[in-house]
Amino acid sequence: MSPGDPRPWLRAVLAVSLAACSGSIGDPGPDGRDPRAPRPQEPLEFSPAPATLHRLTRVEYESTLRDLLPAGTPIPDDLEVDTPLHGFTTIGGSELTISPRAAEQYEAAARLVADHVFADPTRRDAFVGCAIESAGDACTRGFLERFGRLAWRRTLAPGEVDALVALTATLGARLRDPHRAASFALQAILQSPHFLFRVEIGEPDPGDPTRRRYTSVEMAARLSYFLWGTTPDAALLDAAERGELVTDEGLRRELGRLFADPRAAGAMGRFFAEHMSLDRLPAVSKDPEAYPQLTPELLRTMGRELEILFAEHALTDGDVRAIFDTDVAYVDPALADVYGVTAGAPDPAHGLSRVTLPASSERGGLLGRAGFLALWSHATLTSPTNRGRFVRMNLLCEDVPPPPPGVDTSLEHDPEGGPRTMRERLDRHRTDPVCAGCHDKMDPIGFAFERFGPLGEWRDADEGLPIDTVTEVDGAPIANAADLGRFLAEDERVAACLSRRLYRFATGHLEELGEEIVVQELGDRFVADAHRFRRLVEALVLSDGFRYAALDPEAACAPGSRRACTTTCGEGQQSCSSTGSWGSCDAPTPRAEECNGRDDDCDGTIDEGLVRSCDGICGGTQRCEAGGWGACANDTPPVEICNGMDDDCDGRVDEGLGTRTLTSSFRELSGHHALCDGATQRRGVNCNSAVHRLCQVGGCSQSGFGPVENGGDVAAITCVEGETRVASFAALSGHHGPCNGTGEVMGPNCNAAIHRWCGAQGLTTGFGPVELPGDGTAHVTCVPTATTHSITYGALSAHHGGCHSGTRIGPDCDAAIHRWCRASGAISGFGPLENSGENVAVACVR
Amino acid sequence: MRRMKRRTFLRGVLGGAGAVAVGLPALDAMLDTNGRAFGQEAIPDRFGLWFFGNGVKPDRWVPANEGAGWTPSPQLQPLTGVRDWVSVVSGSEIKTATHPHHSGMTGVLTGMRYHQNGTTRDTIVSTFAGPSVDMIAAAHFEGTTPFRSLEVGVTRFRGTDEGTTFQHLSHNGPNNVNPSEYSPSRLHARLFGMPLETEVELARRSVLDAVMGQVRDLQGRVGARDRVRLEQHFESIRTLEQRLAAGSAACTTPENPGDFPDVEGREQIEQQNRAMSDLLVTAIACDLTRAWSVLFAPAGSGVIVWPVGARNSLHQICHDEPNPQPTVHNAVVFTMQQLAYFLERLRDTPEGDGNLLDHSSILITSELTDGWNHSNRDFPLLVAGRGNGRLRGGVHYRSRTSENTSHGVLTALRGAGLPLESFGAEAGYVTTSIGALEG
Repeated sequence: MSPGDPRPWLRAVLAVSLAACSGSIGDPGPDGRDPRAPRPQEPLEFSPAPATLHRLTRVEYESTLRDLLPAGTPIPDDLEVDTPLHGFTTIGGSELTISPRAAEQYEAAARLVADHVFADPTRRDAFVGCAIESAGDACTRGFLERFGRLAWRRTLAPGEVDALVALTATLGARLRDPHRAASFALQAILQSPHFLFRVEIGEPDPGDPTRRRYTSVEMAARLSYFLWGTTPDAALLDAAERGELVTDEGLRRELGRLFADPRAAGAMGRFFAEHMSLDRLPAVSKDPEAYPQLTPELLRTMGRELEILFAEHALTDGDVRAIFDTDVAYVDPALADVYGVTAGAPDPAHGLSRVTLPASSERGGLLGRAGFLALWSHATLTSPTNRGRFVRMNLLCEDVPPPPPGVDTSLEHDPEGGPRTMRERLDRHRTDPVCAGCHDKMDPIGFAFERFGPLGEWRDADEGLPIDTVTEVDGAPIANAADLGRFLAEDERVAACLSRRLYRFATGHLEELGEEIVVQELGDRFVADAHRFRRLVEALVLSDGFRYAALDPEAACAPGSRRACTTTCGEGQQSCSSTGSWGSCDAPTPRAEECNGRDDDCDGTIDEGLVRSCDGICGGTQRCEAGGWGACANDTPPVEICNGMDDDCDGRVDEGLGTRTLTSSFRELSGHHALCDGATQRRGVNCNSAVHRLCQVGGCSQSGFGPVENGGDVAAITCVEGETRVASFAALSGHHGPCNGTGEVMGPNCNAAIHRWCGAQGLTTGFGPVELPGDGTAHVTCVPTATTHSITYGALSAHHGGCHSGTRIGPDCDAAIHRWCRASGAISGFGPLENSGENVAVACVR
Repeated sequence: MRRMKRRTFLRGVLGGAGAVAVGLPALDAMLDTNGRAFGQEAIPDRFGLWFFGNGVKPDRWVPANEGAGWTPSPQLQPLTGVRDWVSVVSGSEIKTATHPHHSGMTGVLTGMRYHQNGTTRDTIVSTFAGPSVDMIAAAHFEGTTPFRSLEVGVTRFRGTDEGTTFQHLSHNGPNNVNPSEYSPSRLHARLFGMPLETEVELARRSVLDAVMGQVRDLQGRVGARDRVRLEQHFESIRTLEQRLAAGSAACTTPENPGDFPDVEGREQIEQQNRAMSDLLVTAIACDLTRAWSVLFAPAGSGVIVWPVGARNSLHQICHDEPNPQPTVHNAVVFTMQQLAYFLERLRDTPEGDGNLLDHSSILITSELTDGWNHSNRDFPLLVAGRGNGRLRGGVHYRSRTSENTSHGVLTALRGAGLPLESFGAEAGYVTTSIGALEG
C-alpha cells in the first residue's frame, strides 16, 4: 500500500487491534491491568527511557574478543546462553545480570585468551607493543592504557590505570614474572564491569534540562554494537573523543563508514535472525520416520537462505518489502528437495545455489520458505496457529495473549467421525467464543500456509483430504501463501512493525509509552523513504530515542557537588563531574594483597594465603606470617613444566617435557585447524594438523598425535619430541604401494608406509601425515625414541572393546593403543604400524 | 578431629594408587569408625529441586490410599523402589494463579506471582519476582561447600519468547537467573578440573578483588535498577573468590561421560539423564555443593519423548491427544523413571550410617497440574529424602481443603534444616509446613 492511498479498512483494523483479543476472559495481570484490555492512550510528547548497563550478548562478547585480540586467538565457547526478551538478546542484555556461573565462565574465558596471547613470546610482544622489562614498567603501563581504552571503549581515568599497574607490580613481585603479571592485568580488564557491560550514564543535554543525552563516547559504543555487533574501532573512538558523535553531521559521517564495512552485514543479519527467531532452528526436531532427511545441516541451510534473502534486499539500497514477494531461493541439494527444485552449482560467496521458484510452487517470498514453515510446525503436524501467531505478533506487532487459565485447549479427534484436516479440527477455535477472540487473529493467517507440511514441503492432501488455503486476513481475501506474501508486502503495518522491532533491538529495551512518538515517526519515515532498510537504520540512529536518556535523579548530579560514598575498602567522597555524572569514590580501592599485615584487597582478611617461591632452595616456598615472609621450606618437590624456565634447578630448561598427554578441546584444536572442531571432524588429516600445530605452542614439543581419547568437546592429545620431515607420496608408496596420495593419504596403509619410511631414515618409526601441503608430499613426524611392540588385537580389546581385528584402526584403536602403552609404563602410543590378522604392531612414546 | 584442609585431602587422594574407583566418593575414605564424615562434624543437610514441565494426569498420578506406605499409582510406579523415601502431597493448589505456565511456575517455586516484564505489550513476558526455592537453600548453605549451588539441565530448551520463566529454572530474583548446564563434559570439567598452582590461584583471587572494587565503584555512579544488577555481579565474583579460597574438590574424579548429541534426529534423553545424575550424585557425595536443581524439562517443554513412541512435542500432545491421553501418560511415567534413576543413585550411595537420600530433602514438581487444561488445582508435588531424620518419607498427604502449595514447599525447605518461619508472599504466603510428612 502506498502512503498516499490508505485503505479505509486498514485504519479500522488498526484501531481494533489495539483492543487485543475480544470476547475472552482473564484475571488482571500483576500490574492490576487486564492484559486483554486496551492499552492506555499514547502520549504525543517524547520522553526518553532511562540509561542502562547493557551486558554484552554472547555474540557481541565473542566478536569483541576477536576484534581486540591477535588473529588466531581461540575464542572461548563455554559461555552463558543468552536470554532473549521480547524477541531480542539485546533486550535480555539490558535486563539480566551476571550470575555466579557466568562470572566463573568469564574468568575462565579471560584466562584462556590471556594465556594464549602470552604463551608465545613473539605473539606476546607484538600484542603488547613493546618488551616488558619489569612488572609495572612504562611498557606495561602503555599497554594497559592502550588496550584498556579499546576494551572499555573509552580512555581510562588515571586512577584506573594506576590500579591496574599496581596490580601488575604486586603480582610481578609475587610471581617473579613480569609477563605473567601483565597477563593477569589483561584478565582484570576483560572481567571488568566496564568491559562486560556497555556502561551508559549520559550527560546533561545542553538543549533541554529535563533530559540527558548519551555522551559522544557512549554513542561510539551504541553505534558500533548496533551497526557492527562489536566494539568500536580506533577511528570511531577517536571521532567520539573529539566530541563528534553528538551532532547529526558527525553521526552521519560515521554511519556511512560503518555501514560500508562488512561487519554491518553481520550485525544486521543478527537483527534479522532474531526478528525471524532463526536462532531456534537448531533445536527443531521432526519425526525421524516421517522426515529422515532432516539433519542439523538442513536446519542451518533453512536459516541461511532467509539471511541471504534479507541481505540481498536490506543491505542493498532496494525496497526491503520485496523479500515477501521474491521468487528467488537459495538452496543446497537437501533444501532443493524440500522445494521440489534442482540445485545448481553453489555460489562460492555462501555455498548455496540460487534458483528461481516457479509460480506454481505457491510459495512467494520469505514466508513460503522452510526456515519459517518448519520452525512454526509440530514434529508431524502443521500449526496454522503457530504460523499465524508469529506473523501476527512478530511481523504485524499485534500481541496475542496466552489462553486464560482453566480453558480446555484440546483439539480432540471425533472418535466417531472420519479423518479431518488440520483446518477442520481448528474450527473449534472459531466457533467457541472463548477461543475465537484470539484465534481469529492467528488461525486464518495460518490457513494460507496449509499447502506446506511440517518441514515446509509441498503436500497435495492433509489426512487424505483436499487442502483449502483460501482465507481472509483482516478483511482481505487471500488465496494462498504467495498471495499472503503480496498482501503483507503492501501492508503498512509490516513496515511499521519492522521499524519498531529494529528500535527494540538497537536500543536494547521495549519501547516505553514516552517513546511511542519516535517509533511511529520512524515507521512513517521508513514508508516515505520507499522502505529502504539502510535509510531506516540511519533515521533510527539520528532519532531522539537513540540519543537521549531520561533524567535519573540517582545517577545525575549538579557539576561540582560532592557526596559521601563507600568502596570495598572504606568511606570517601565522590565529586560530580562537569558532565553531570558522579566520579569515582576517593576512598581506597582494593589492591593486590601484599605481605604487609594489612588487608590490601579489602576482603576482610589480612595477608590471606600468601605464598611465594624463595631463593636458596629449589622449588622452595615461603609463607606470609605476621606481616612478613616466613622461612623457606620445600614441601613440594620441584617439577619441570613447559614454561621456558628451569623449574627444578638442574641447569636444563623444559627437559623431558616434549612427550606429554594434554587434555585439550576441539574448541582449542579448531583454533589451529578450523575443520577439527569436533563436529566437522574429530579424527582425520585436519585434526592431525591441528594436533601437530597445537603441540608446537610453547616450544617443548615438535609435533603430536591424537586425539587419543575424546568425549564431547574434550580431546586428549599426545605431544612428542620428534623430527617432522617432508616425504613425497612417491617415496611413501615405495614403502607401501597403496599410500600414494590419491587412493590413500591417511589410513592403515599410510601408517605402515610412514613407519617404514622413518625406519629407513634411521629414525625408528613415525606417524602422520601431520600436514598435507597438496604438492604431492606429506609432512610426517618420525619419533626416534619411540619403542615398537608386536602385540595382538586381543590385548588392545582389553583396553577398549571397540578395537579389534574387525575395526583395526580408528578412534577406538587410538584410545586402546594409548591405554595399552600407558599400562606398560609409557606415556602414550600410536598405531597400528603394521597389522595382519590378529597381530598388530604399535609404537609407544615415553 | 580437625577438619582436613581440602588441598591436603586432594593430594592424599590423588597421590595414592593410580587406579581409583570411578565415581567412588572420596569422603568414604574420611569416615571415622563411627561412620560420621569429617570426624565430629555432622552429616550435611542438602536441598534439591527436580523440575519437569507440562504436569501430570492427576487421575493416574495421585495414589489411591493416604497416609504412610502409599500404594504406587500408575504414574508413580517407577518410584516403588524409593517409595519409603518419597512423600506425595496432593490436593493442594497454586493460590497466585492468573495465567497458564507462568503462574504455576513462579507460584510453586517462589510462592509469589510472576513479575511481568514491560508494560507496553499485550502479551506476557515474565520472570520470577523473588528467588526460587533452590536459591533460598543455597543462601542458607553458603560458605560450607566449594560450589554455592549447581544447576543442571537434561532435555533441551527449544525456545519461547515469554521470558526467563520458560527458559530457566533457578532464579536469584527478577531477570536474575542461574542457567542450567546441559553439557555433561563441561559439568565434569567444572567439578573435577585440576587445580592450578598455588601462586596462580592467588593471582586469580587478586584479579577478582580488583574487579570487585571496580563493581562497587561503578555502583555508586548508576541508577537504582543498575545498582541491583551490579550487586549480583559483585556477589557472583565474591562467590567465585570464595571458591578459589576454599581450594579444590576433595574427590576422586569419575570418568568424563562425554556429551550426547541427537542420534538420527532423536534426543538421547535417558543417556543424558544418567550422565547428569551420576555427576550430580558424585558432586553431592563429595560435598561439593548442598543446593542443586535439575531442570529435567522446562515449563511448557517441547521435548519429544521418543522412548514412549511420542512423535510430537510433549506440549503439543498435551493439547492435542484425545483423552485419556495415553502418550502423555506414558511420558509422565517415563519422566518418573528418569527421576527414579537419580533418587536410586542417591539411595545407593552410602554416607555415614545411611545414604545420601537419607540426608537430603528434594522438592519435585511441575508448573501446572495437567497440560491438557493448564489447571493449577490438585498440583503435583513430591518431597523426597529423609532430611537427616526431619522427614518421614513414604507418606501420602491429601489436602481436603485445596491448601496452598507453599505448605509443601516449606516442608521440603525445613526438611533440609532451613530455620524458616514462612515461605511465599501475599496469596502464596504460608507459615506452616505439613506435619504429617515430618518425622
